[in-house]
Amino acid sequence: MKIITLFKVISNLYKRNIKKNRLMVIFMIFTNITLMLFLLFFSSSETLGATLAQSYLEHLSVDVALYESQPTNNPLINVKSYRRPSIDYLNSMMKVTDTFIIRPDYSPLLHEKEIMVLGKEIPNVLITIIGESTNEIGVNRAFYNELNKLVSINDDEILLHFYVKTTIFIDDEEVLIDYYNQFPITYIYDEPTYFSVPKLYISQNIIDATLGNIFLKPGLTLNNYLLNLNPEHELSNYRFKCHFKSTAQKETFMHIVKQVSNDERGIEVSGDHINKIDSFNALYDYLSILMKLFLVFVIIGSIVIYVVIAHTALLTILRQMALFAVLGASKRHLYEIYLFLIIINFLLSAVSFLLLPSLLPVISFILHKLLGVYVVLKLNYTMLVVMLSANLLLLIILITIIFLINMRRPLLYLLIDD
Amino acid sequence: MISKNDVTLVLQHPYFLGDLRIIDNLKISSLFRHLNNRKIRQKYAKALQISHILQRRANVCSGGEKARANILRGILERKQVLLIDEPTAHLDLKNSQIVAKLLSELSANKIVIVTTHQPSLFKSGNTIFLRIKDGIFHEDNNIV
Repeated sequence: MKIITLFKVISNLYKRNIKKNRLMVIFMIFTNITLMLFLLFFSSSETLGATLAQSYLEHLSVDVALYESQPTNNPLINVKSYRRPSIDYLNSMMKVTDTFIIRPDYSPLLHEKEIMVLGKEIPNVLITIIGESTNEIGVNRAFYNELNKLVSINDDEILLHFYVKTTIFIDDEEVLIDYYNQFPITYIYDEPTYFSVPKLYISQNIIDATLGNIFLKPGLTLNNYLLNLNPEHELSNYRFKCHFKSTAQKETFMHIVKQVSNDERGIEVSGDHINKIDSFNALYDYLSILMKLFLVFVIIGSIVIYVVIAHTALLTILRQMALFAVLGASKRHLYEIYLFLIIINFLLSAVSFLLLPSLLPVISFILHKLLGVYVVLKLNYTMLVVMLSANLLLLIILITIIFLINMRRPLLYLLIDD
Repeated sequence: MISKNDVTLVLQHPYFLGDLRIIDNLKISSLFRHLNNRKIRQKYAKALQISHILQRRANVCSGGEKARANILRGILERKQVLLIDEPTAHLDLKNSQIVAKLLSELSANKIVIVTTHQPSLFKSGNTIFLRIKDGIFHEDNNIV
């Protein structure tokens, strides 16, 4: 019976102030949705970088160079000198990481390339050598779009003409490389749209079998020549290209790199995808600071609005509270009633967290549109619970203060005229 | 020794939660104290002639009905001292007499203190009349 009476009283008081309660619920829902977006943003930092990195077709291929800092007069200026690590050095790392493919870097030679389709040259193409054992040649979407601007093409028949014409010096003897081949493009890869440049994907197999296998001199292939260059030779590009078998192997390799590198000397791992992920992470860190600032503003705004609404809500029921005091309610009883009324709003607004599962695909869709990758976001439920609890705690502290200030002498409110 | 916890205050203005029935309003005090008032409520509602309004919402009751319900609420508190501010202020003569009679009966078992502009209604054998003069109570049985 008591419960029914309590329910009736609470319901009566809640309805009496329905407009402000509705306003409070709406505001709390807005705050909750904002908190959820923050939560998704901070949770995404764990998966977004990794997903983005793995969305590059060449993510298992990296360039490896050794560096050493050169002393300068200005301590703020750090000049590094690079050289290629020895094969033995990389072989010693394989004892931990398991074997991976080591090849010379063809970039200096491929600088002199010319890529033509239907008589039109495609400029600024990045030749991307990937370690996969495939004999197919592909391009990324940016290349395809660039090509579409230049010529009218049929997707089934893109025949690419590939030229490399340059001279190199072997023992002061000038050797001309005049290489031509034609390759059918068999696939178009949708790379992340983030800073995408036109790319031509060639597997290491094809490079080995074609360009790498041309003879510079009798008995000396280009591949052997580049592999055995002096580590500081310009044509070596001061680095080796390494192709890993799996992400786990690459991570082990990167872990070793981190361990052996410091400001003075170490190993530098580079690659188009690594540069982009680094710049993305820098941007993300910057956004993260902005988001944290925004979060602080949201919290301050929440406090102000909670105080205003909770205070006016209490003012509306002052006379009822005074009546309860006459009927024998202690201040604790009055506080419980007031708390109950506000908690109803909190619980109603907490329903907005049910939106969270449906918010995940929406965010994934937005990220797909922005970055061109599907990201499976993982929610940090511990953080969600912490946010909810902190929100509730903040609310309880505020309404306790408001109650203590306003309810010092509840009976006085019976003197207020209607 | 009487403390403030032994005193029930019945205000002149009958405050009720308008959307609730009178009976629900009367039950509110049971939320704060362990009281089972069913029988006593029926008894005194009958004495005050308001049994018929118990199931009505407070905001459709007349001022007189609410004033008597307000007195009933004070009685249901079952405290040693009943302090009532102008219990007959909103009542016609007939109902004023009913209330005065009931309060006189109650005064057999508890202390009933009434402020009133109609002292003649409360003239009974055990009533002490007090007048306030210069902030001091003076016994004055010649009021009526």
